[in-house]
Amino acid sequence: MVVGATGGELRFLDPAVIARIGSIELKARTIVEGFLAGLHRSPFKGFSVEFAEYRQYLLGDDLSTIDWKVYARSDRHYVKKFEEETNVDCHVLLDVSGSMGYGSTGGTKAEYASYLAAALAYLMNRQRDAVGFMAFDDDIVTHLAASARPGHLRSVLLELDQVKLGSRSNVAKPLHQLADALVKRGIVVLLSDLLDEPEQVIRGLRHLRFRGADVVVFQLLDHDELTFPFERVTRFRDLETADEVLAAPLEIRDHYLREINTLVSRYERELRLVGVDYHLVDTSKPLDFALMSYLSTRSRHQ
Amino acid sequence: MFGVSFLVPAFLVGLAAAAIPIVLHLLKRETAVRRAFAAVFLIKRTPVEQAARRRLREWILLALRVTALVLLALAFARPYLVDTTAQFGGVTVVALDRSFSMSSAGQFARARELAREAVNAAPAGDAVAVVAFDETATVVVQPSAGRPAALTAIEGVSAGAGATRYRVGLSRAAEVIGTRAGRIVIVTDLQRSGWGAEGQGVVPDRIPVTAVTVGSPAGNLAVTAVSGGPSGPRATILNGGDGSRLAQLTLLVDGVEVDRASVTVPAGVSAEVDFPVVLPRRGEASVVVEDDAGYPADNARYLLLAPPEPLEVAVVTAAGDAAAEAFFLHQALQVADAQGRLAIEPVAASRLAARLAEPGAAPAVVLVLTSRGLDRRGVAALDEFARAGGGVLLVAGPDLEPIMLGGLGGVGQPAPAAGDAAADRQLVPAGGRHPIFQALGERVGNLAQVRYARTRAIEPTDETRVLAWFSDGAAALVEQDLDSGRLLVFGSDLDDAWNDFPRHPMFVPFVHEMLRYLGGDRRARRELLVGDGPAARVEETGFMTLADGVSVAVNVNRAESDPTRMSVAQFDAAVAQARGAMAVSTSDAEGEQERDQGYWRYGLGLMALAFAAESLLGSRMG
Repeated sequence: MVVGATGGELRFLDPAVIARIGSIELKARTIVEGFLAGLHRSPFKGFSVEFAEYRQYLLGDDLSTIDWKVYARSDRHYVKKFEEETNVDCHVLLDVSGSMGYGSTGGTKAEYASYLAAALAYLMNRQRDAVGFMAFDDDIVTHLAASARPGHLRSVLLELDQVKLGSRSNVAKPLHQLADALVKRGIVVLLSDLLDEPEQVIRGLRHLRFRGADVVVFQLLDHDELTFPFERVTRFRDLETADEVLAAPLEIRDHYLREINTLVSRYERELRLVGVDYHLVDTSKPLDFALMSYLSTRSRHQ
Repeated sequence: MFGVSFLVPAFLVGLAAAAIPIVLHLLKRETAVRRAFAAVFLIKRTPVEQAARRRLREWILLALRVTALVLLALAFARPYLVDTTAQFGGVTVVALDRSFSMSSAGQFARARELAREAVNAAPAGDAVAVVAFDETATVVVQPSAGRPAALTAIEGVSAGAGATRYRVGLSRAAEVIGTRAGRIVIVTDLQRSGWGAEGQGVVPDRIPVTAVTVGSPAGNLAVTAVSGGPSGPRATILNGGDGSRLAQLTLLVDGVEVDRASVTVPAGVSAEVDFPVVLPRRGEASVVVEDDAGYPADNARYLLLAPPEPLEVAVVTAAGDAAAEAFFLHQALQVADAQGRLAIEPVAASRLAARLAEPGAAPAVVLVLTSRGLDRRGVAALDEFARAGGGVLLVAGPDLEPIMLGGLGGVGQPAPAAGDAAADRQLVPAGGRHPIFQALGERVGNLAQVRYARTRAIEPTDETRVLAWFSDGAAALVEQDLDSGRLLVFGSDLDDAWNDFPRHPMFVPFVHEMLRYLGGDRRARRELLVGDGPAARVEETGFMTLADGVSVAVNVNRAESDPTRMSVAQFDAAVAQARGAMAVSTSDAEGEQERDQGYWRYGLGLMALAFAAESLLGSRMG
């Protein structure tokens, strides 16, 4: 299912608008602030990074965590739980393979993915989660380990700003590498067009799930890739392999759409079975849905 | 080895058309949009051809289209194979004169010897062919590398009774050489009479002709003519030698010697000898001269004795009473009728169709004096009669209606049109060589004494020949060939109505000559020359019976009896003169070669296959 923004207040989540904003940091902030500004009706209202809950003191708790004001009023010992205790490691995996360089509506899938990654990183950082970043094509191009340090977000955003498109994609490889490296359960967000061998991709994601990670997959596809609107006889050149195919789009459109729908359906079906949040994103649509999906997963992780 | 040549190379310009599909192909290639795309592997899964495969098919399509157009151009250019090896080596053709002027004692043996020498002297790489010729030419040996076949064939050639025709021999030799390189060695006595104006053969400039001369006899006596007459037969003797000779003549009738005579004939001239013998009305007569040194074939001349058959003439008048309706003309015809030269038959115009339809009794000539009573059937019958070989004389006098004549189904093509004139005018022959006027001899000038008060205007066409004009410029006597027959139209009256011609002494002979000319071909020929023949070529002198039962005397061509020679330089000059129109002859040879091979048919067939394959492949590609 493809979901997009509907409210006029979300215009700052429009990728075309975002593309015109200067730095990646500013873009991320704009996206998140715009997103949060529209959350007044959101079920995530009240989610706080400063205070979570009170609980009764138990033997062994740090005495410094006892809220003495509550004790003065109620004569009972309660321990104040802060948000730092609920922080998780969030890993943003960005596909920078050649196929992500396609874009028909002003920006490429890679640009859209980088905006989304930046926004997610910004949002994670705002929630005091540790943010990790990995860019990959057929190998890992950039990897920043998850960290909640104040300056880490800037590093992530800097990397995002400097990421270049690579060659062929091999989504499964970084997934396996990350799963092997996970030392703590966390959230893994995969941003990719997943135009790869589904079997391998799903196996990699299953590996992550096996290691206890909550996985959110955003399959980013261009509007052209979803609708195949071409009409004239076209010689299609593969962005990754440079293979060429001469085809009459009007004649092959139905077959192509069946193929892409089959691919999407397979990802959706099989990933759901392994507990992965799968979301198909039309890169011509605003980014709010992607952020919403992340927060939904984040809430389940509590 | 063979090379390819073209009969109509101009059509090779059509090869440029092969560029059309190439240009279209390139333009079409540019129309395909190039687009980078991420999900190409999904497109590849569709049942559409991949680019490489489609490109291959496109190239095959292009190749088929180009091939088809190239084949079309080549087919129209009419290709044919030529033997390049032979072209390199060349062909030597030995043309051997076999006319009877080569038949004197030892003459042809010498000719064979010279021919053999020519064969042996041919360049080592050349093929050699042998052609024997007189009035016709025969390829005795086709071009071959080996010499024995040519040498053997030369032994088999002998002198005949035909006359020399250099053009025929050289032309045939040139055809044998064809488009290849080659040379002609002609072995002949260089007889001057061999370069007659007739004959269409010529030699291309590129083929050298070398004359090898055979000596002529010291002299030749020939009987060149024999005629029967009331006082006995007369023979004409030609002395072709350098000095006077005594000719001993023998007259034979039905193989039996009847008389002898002798005459001294000066060098280079003819003499006539009369035999005081009354010949029988029917039989076979011949005059033989004793001449051991000259040509045997012209030592005898043959004469078939048979009474002259009258020329049957149907005179068409309105009522069929020529004596009353055409008095003067009837009187003129009666003169010949009485002598048995003409058989006059008056016919009413209304009965003409029935008369001409009578089987086996058609007249030789129909003389039409009137169109009154001549219905459409009569006109159609007259047309059919003329086209079947009959002669028709239309007298465009007062009784012949121009409109009626105009509808004579072609017979009346030069029919008199309206526009009678009333003025004194004379008849002037267009030329004295026409048989009608030639027969009148010196008397032809007397025709100018006739005064024509009225005439019919006859409009000559491309198919007619004007034999005589009136002094005012109008056509007076017009001739037209109608298939096998002949039509004469006289542009005035012949019965003293529009002119005073019947009262002139030239009237009777003029009318007789017109009728004789019209009926001449219808009378059976009594003499043929060697080389003539209605069906098959006559080869030998003497008497023979033709397929239709008619007996004829067969004699040699008298021109061949004249041994006057040319010099080699004169012969070469004559050959050079004959080289003019050789392109036609070469084209004919090439055309014949191309027609025999007929590769253009295969070209068109392959072109059709290429187009069919192109259509099939194109439809599969969509």
